[in-house]
Amino acid sequence: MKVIKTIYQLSIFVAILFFCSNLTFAQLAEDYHPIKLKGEIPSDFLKRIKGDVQLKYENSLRLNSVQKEQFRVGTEYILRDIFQQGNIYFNDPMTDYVRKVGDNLLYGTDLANDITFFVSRFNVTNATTWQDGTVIVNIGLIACLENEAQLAFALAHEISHYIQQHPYLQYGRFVKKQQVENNSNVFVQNTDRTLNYELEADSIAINLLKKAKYNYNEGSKVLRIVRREYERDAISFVRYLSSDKFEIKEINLCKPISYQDYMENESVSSKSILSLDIRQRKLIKRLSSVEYQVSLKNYILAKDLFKKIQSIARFELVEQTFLSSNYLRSIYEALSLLNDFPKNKYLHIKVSENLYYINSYNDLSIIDRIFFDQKKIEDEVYADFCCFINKLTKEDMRKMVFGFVQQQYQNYPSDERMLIIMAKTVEMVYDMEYAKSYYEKYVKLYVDGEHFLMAKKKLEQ
Amino acid sequence: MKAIQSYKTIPFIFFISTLLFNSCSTGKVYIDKTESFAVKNESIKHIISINPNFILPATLNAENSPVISSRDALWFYESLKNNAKKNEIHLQIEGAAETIEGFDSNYFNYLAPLKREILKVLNLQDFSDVNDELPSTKMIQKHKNGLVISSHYSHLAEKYGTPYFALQGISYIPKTETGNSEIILAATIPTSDLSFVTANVETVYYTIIVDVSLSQIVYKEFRIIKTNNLQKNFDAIADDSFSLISK
Repeated sequence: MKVIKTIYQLSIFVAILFFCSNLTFAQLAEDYHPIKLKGEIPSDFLKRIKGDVQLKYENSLRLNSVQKEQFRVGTEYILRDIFQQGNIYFNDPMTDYVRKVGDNLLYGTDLANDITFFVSRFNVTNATTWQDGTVIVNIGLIACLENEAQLAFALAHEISHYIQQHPYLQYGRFVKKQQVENNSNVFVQNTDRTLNYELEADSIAINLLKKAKYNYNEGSKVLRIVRREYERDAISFVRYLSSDKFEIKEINLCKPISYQDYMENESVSSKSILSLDIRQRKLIKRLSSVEYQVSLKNYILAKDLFKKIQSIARFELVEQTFLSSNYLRSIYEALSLLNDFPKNKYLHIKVSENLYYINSYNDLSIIDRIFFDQKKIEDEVYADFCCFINKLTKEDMRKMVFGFVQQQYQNYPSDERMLIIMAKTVEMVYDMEYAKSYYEKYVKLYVDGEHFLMAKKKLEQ
Repeated sequence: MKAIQSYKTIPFIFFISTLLFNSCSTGKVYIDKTESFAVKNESIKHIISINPNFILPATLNAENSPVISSRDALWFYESLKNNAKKNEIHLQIEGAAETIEGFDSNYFNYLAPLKREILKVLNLQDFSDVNDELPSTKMIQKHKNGLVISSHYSHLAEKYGTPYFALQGISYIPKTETGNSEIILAATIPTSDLSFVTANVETVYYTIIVDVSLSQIVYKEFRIIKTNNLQKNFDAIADDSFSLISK
């Protein structure tokens, strides 16, 4: 009887898990609400705000006490800055997930108490390590990964940096080089060992993955992803942004030669690409020498959980790039997500909001300032999109933005976000007289709305 | 994945240095406010100061580089609050790292993004490169409209009981006498670059006030501080600053 009861309880639990997981995807299909941090601030988070960090390293480079102090204060200052500026999530599903994967890697080692994983709002496909044991994974990286083993590789790579004291060595070697140069006025040969550190971290990461039974072959795919060499779903902005007010035609688009020019720039870091190239080759060579084990897994936690976390990271990427005024990237990421969630209200509205701000910078004739990714674009469709926006005349831009916003407003006439975007867009493209009715509607419907006071002041002016 | 990533994404200090060092070298004050701020000054009784920045060189090391310290900021917070009070302004500091005061989910959901928004707008909508009008020793400029921030912060006026939110702080900018513009400033330097900071810097106190109900930056003040004893002399500076805000 007890066994039947247990099986019954278990089946209920599994059913709940199943519905929870599907419910999340069902919600994402319809709408998304960016993560709001809640609950008590975790002590490991507060510790970094307070600047209460302890660096663990062996002083192999024999730094003097002032240099050691400068390293400590510098690490403390930058971590404080990153944490205080609200760049790090807490009490959220992404951090929770990353820590679970991290726990799998650190299980049975004495590092579990030394290393703490965090997730940042940064969009760069990267993760970073600090000598106090802080490992920060960017949403830009989580959004691109394909499975749990790839995330495990990224974390294992960062753990390896910590184990090998690379932050300390990087700082120490730099200081020593400066010291020699200052004393002798002689140019010292480049002592940048970044590539060596990366190769060393890749190699150690494989051992950590193997021990935790993760499929270490996924490691080389992570390097491919960091190089943006992975297949993305086809993204078409031409049809999506066209409306009865403005139809995007061939003439509005850049010729392939134009976006090639747009992409090929001296700022595309050839050194970084070369470094990744070398890493990938060395890693593949290293992997081929490791005896393959059938029991290695791409997932230790539930596969659906990874998919959910990756989707959240992608939605957050849309939100965070918008908040950083990287409107073009935000639209591009939204367009990519619309392939999976074509009816997601948040995405359509966020594209409208991004377009509003692009147009306002265009009206001020400072649109060049919001092309953050120019010179670093390695994705042809994105380059094509940026080139298209750059090429539009002010008049065409206004028509396109107004046409799109109006269309979305017709789709979501009572949505708070859409209503205020419509009001502001009408005011920008026409004038306050035309926009008045929209602001009035907002003030009437959303007394507790985020834009209420601004809308009310507009009507009083 | 580098071991240390460069976080040089906040060119705010460079913005300050552009403003100041186009023209000034000693004891300068530059103030820029909107007409609406001047008219409504009577209502400025309450300002939320978000995570004031305090960073000073503590000691010099063998290479004559300052070891940066952001500790000992408590007197700075106290001086800000006391001098605001003297000028009948209630200054509410949210996000004070040294005391861990004001760090709650509201801070991270609303105030930290607002701070990032202000820094971003100061940088993106700065027209100092096209406007070569140079500030004199003490210059007060008035504009019809201030730089525009996103309107979704307007609800904070009700939440905090005031539409005025400020960024305040003490930081570095490079000295102009040397013509040395390569100095990487304290607020933007990654760990590995700390040695770039030379002793040849000047101290700047700044206050930027945004009116969230108007979605505008309504007041900007930057001043170079020339003193050997900052703590002793800062009261007078803060008093002068708040008296200008409350005027």
